[in-house]
Amino acid sequence: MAWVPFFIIAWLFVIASFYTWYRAAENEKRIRQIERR
Amino acid sequence: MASRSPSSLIARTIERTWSSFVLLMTVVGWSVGAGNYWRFSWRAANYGGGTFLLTYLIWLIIVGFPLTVAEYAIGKLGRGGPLHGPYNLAERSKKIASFGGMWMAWCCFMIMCYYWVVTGWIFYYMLHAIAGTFFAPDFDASAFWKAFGYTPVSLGVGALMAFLSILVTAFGIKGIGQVARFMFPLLFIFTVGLAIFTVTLPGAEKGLEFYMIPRPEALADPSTWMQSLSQVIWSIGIAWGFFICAGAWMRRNDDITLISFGNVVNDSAVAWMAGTAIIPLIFAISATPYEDIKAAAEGLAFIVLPQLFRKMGVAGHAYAAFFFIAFWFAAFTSLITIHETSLRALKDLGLKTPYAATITGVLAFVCGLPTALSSAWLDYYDTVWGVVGLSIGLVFIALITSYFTDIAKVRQSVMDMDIRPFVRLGKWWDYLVRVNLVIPIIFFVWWIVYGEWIRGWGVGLHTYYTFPGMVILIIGGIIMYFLISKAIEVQIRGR
Repeated sequence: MAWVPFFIIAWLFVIASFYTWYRAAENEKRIRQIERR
Repeated sequence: MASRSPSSLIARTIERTWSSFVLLMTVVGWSVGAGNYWRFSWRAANYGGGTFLLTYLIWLIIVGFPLTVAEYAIGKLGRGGPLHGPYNLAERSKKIASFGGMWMAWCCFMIMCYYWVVTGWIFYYMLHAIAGTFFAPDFDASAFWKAFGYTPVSLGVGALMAFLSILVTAFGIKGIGQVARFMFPLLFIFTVGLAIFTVTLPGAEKGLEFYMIPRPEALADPSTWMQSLSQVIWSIGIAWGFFICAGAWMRRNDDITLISFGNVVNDSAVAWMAGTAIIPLIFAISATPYEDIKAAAEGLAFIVLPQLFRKMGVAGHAYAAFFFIAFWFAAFTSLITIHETSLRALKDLGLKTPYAATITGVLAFVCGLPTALSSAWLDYYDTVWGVVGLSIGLVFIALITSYFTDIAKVRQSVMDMDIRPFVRLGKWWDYLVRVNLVIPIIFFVWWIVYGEWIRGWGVGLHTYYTFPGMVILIIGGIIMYFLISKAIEVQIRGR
């Protein structure tokens, strides 16, 4: 079971990837708001 | 002299209208390609398994994130491609900075010389995945690979890929890039699905132990460090010059730190998941996994993936077809991006797009012919340009951002936006970038000394053909420097 830490890290990469997709979409909303002002 | 060296050259930058999300999907789509499956599984399985992953993680922190930010910054702040971006950003040694940018474009071109070959392999496998060849009762994955790899058929399919790449880049066909943006998330999810399926197979745990448990003794082997370093930069796409091109189209409020972090984690997620799908499977299906990994070498992914789909039963055919379609799109868009970066260098030197695309495409095809017919030549090209050439590119990125200009100013400019940056860069970033002035050199010297002197002359670096390659690298670099200097002077005079 010593492989578990790296297995978790692999999944953390997956979760972090989804988070960057979300953040990129959120950033765009913010940029549009700023540009409208 | 001052009047002949203006502070900036006018670069033809591309205006873009798409959103941050599409930008992220596009740059990640470039990064994710053949390297995540084909190269990652080959290198990770042959250079340390779990130790490879450990060193990979260390390189992501020291090299991956800091230098991705730095490379984007060169393009965004310098407003130009590999020639103009570094020139405009640098406050001194501008011609050497431009040379650094063009060096990256040159390495990118040399990698393109064998990338069309690998894209051809994926295309061939995609056709067979759709046709259902992998599911015939007497199908033998190793024999199938041996009958195809490095044969005239594989050369022909690769040639088709090179030709398609010339067509797309010469005529600026945009549709494929747009399809690829949707393909990346699909490929991501398919890959995660494959990894989950593999780990549920009986016997896969032995493979997970090999792939995910670091062995301390492997840390003493510089090959593990050098190969994982090259994998990080090869796979993410650092020092190829295309992040400079992408940086040049960024708007003021596009967050370099988010895009860089996105590149690093998305690319690593796909690579680690692909490794989880491929490497443990060998242990689940073979009685002699270590021997099979050695024997498969660079064909590992192509031998293992069909067997993985066969294990899926009825659903395997559809899964294989969708997976290979998405995989081919990922590889083909990476090929186009590599091609566009190479031709961008020629465009910066004054050539029109169709000519630049045809010249780079035909040259890449001719120079890459040996790699289509011989595994040793492919390994040679990958070692000289994928390992040595790109590592030198890292030093150039660090030089341009931390020595030819004030790194604190670069850092503040990166964070100068109306929105909060995803990662707040501090002095730690300056130090990490600066460390890259020496890191590739230290590890490279260790690698040579260990490989050639301790393990025996010719064992480590395939001396007889790699050293001549490095001589070509140096001579070509010197010729390129003089050509670039001339081109810059012509452009300055023309203003």
